[in-house]
Amino acid sequence: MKVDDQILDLLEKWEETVAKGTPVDPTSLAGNDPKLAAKLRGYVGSLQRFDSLKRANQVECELHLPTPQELGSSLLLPEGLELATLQAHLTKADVIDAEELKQTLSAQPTKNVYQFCNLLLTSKLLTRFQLRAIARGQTRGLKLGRYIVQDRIGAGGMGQVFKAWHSKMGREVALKVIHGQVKNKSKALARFYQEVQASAQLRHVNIVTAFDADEAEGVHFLVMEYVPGSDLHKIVRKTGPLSVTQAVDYFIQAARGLEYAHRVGLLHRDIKPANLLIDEEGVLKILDMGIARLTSEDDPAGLTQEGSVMGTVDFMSPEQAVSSKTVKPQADLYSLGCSFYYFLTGRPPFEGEELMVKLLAHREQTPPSLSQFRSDVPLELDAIYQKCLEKLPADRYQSATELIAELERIRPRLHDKGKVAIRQIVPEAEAEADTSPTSFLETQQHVGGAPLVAPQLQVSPAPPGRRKRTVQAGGGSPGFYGGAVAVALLLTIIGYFGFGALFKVSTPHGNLIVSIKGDAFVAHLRDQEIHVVNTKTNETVDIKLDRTELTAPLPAGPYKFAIETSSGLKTDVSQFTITSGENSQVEISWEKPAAASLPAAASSNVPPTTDVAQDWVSVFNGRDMRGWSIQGPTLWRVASGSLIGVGTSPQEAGWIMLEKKYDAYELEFEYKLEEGGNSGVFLNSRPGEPLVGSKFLEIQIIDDAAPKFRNIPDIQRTGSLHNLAAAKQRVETRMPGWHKMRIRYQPPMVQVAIDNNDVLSHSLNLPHQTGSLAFQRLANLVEFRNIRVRDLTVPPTNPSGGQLAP
Amino acid sequence: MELISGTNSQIDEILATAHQRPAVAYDLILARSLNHLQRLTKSMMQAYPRLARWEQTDDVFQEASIRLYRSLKEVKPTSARHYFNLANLQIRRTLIDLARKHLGPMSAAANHESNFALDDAPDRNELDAPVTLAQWAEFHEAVDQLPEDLRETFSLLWYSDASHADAARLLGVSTKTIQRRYLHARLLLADLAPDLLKPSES
Repeated sequence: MKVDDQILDLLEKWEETVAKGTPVDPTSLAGNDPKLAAKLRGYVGSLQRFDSLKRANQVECELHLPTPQELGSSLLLPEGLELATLQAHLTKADVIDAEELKQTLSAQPTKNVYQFCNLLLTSKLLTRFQLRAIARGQTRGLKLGRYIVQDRIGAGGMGQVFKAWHSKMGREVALKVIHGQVKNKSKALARFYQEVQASAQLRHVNIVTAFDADEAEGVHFLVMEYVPGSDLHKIVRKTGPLSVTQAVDYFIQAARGLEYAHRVGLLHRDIKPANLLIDEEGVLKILDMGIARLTSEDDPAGLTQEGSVMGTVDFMSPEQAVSSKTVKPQADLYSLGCSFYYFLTGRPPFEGEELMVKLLAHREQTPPSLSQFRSDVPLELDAIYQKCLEKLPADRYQSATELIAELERIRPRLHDKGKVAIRQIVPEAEAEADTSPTSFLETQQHVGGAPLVAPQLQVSPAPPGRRKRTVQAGGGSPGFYGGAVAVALLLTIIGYFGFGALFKVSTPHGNLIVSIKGDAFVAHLRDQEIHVVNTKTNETVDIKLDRTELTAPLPAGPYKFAIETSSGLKTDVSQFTITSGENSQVEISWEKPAAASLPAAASSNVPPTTDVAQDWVSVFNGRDMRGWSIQGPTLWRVASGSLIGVGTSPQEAGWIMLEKKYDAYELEFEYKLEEGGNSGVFLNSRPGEPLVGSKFLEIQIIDDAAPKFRNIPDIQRTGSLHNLAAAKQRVETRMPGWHKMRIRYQPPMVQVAIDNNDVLSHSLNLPHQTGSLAFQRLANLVEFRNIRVRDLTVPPTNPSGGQLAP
Repeated sequence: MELISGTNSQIDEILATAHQRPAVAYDLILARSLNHLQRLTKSMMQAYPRLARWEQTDDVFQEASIRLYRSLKEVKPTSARHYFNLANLQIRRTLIDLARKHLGPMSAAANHESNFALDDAPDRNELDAPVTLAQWAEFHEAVDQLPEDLRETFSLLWYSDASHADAARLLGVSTKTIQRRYLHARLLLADLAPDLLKPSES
């Protein structure tokens, strides 16, 4: 099927000429050929008809596209499902109250199976998991006794884990349904119930609480606390290795949970990142305490558990590989140390494709050094980790309490230096560790507390492990290099540096004892940082105020405090000296800061704070999202005092809105944007509008240096009033660390300052709808902190002018 | 805020995204396809204003959209171009179904109501004569008969509303080639659907 090339050429020419606005009689193109002329006339008529069809007006009518929710819910249904069939399955499942369903349907009648399904989901009568099962007629197992199963949230060695609802108690729980094969081993099951009883006694903030064990319809299941969050295996896989401070924080939290459990005689025996859950507040909770491994005479190490591929050995202590029954608490500490390595590198300390290779490595190989791969891991911390991984239990910390004390001692000196510091870059795609989760895991995106750092981090592979040989004093035994010569060399080294030198880094430190006076700690100071500067070396040390009394080791020397007057922090001394081996004391208190002009105002055209306005009010307490409301997907969390938004795609865009509304205000905050990030501040957001925020006034925050944003116009760059007015200078958002932004919105004026530089002053031409201030989440990671607002509409009559209630 | 540059089209964004995040690119194509289905359906209903006011029409259209969405979601596309082809094919089939099976029968009742319908329509030989649903169905079915390269090009321009430059970028050819293919496709369609596209000799 083809049109003659000659005709194509002529008509192409005709179209080009007509497109330029010059009418052409097609006959003139045919020369003296009447037949050709007739053909051309006919084809031109067709082309003109095409044009009219293309231009065809659309009728003014209501032809609605389905909502994204309707489209999404339609995917849960099998092909060809009839509405009547679904209704029959729903009745059989008996998971919805009939009266409630009737009321919902009468309020919103539906005409087809898609509308019906969407209604069931949007009115929360069913979850997606339930709907998918019911749509396929799989109704058995959706009710276990009084528990209505709502979602499948994980699978592990012993069985599947579900989120469920107790219909009488009205609370959410997690159900771990035991594998069929396990339930058939009566001895194992008996031992299992015994351990469940023991673990059900545990009540600790860092341990997931076990409530009950039960059986319904032949299914044995555990009932446990449901914790929305994600486990550290998933978190590190998704976001990369953690920062040192965050990893240590989790290390300590896990150790505290173990400390408590060990004190009452219970061991975990399967500590690994997948069993360490982080909730939405950043609290670590140990999963499966006491019930992680079912053991038997045939399998004393619990390696051949049903459902797991030869057990989980990446984090297993050498003695546990022999017998799980005789291990002591030090085995858990070993596993925790291995997990800590994983937090910081994204892989277990010993890798290998075969189970036996890994087991032997735990037994024989020297653990890889953390400091070797992470230049931001101090030697002291590496030493602590190494001690956890000593081959002999007697050489490790003898209790979690000892471990915690060591970690707390060095914690104040730890701080993150922007991106995670690595020493070597190698290609990825290492063998994946067997960190299969065994407990209650959200299958949705992580909403836990781990800060996201170094997203493109690559870590060099572990060096080939050296076989560790025991060095015997007196010579004659093979040392690291083999032979008496090597032993003599080693002893010489030890003798020269002192025995402790090879195993511990010591510095001439003294201690700063910090105590917090009055009631200020909870309300104003918890988790704040104070900065002390060594006036000799100009080095700054940040000390986190996480308790009312703390001891911070500092190198000897003269110091001063670097405190912003607007913070309210007060010290009884402004300078102090640290002497090696001695303690210096300081008292910290808090006083409501005076309503003086902010430092930024001195050099800024943003009007000073002497005009009619309230005092500054903190609108973010650094711990949770109280006072804020999320619009769109819940990809926000709070961690380390920051409000963190994770952007994924324009389809999953959203914002977080301050619930208290201000018609005219000054907003000040700090922000940190990930490479390639796209965010912003909406000045007048309103719920129900498009989630990309196209209807709002927005101050743009974007990685201007990212290649994909290289060619965007100036009215879309950082500091601009998006698509309305360009910032008058480029802001280097790519510079690592935090930036400060101040926005003054007093219609019709909009003014913006970034890092004390005025970048925008614009008068709006048209009135805009009022709304709430909000932060946008669009692409990559953005963090906000120290967020405060001044109301510009009300005279200063509020005597308290205080912060958001904790 | 979503970035919209004055010089870049959405297909550029799709092509750029497809390399790094194909799932996002495919979602963009799918969203466009649904919007174009809506636009083309409304064009098909131009001759039936009464039909346009019926709530039933909206229900029918929504179900058709969902079917289109589901069919595309099942696909594992190998590239943006591949996905555009599939999307355009599904749009075409959905329009044929709407014209022949769903809206077509409803239009009979609409005709009976004596509106701006075919009985009162101007001479169908005129260029802007309204098009019946049956004629639209014939048109879309004719597109299926085009040679592959012409069908691909025509579909991009017609069903996905791509510009010549967009189509050239997507297919990796020159705009000149696109223009010629588009012309060729229309001329062949005129032969395949003469009732709609060939004015009678006057």
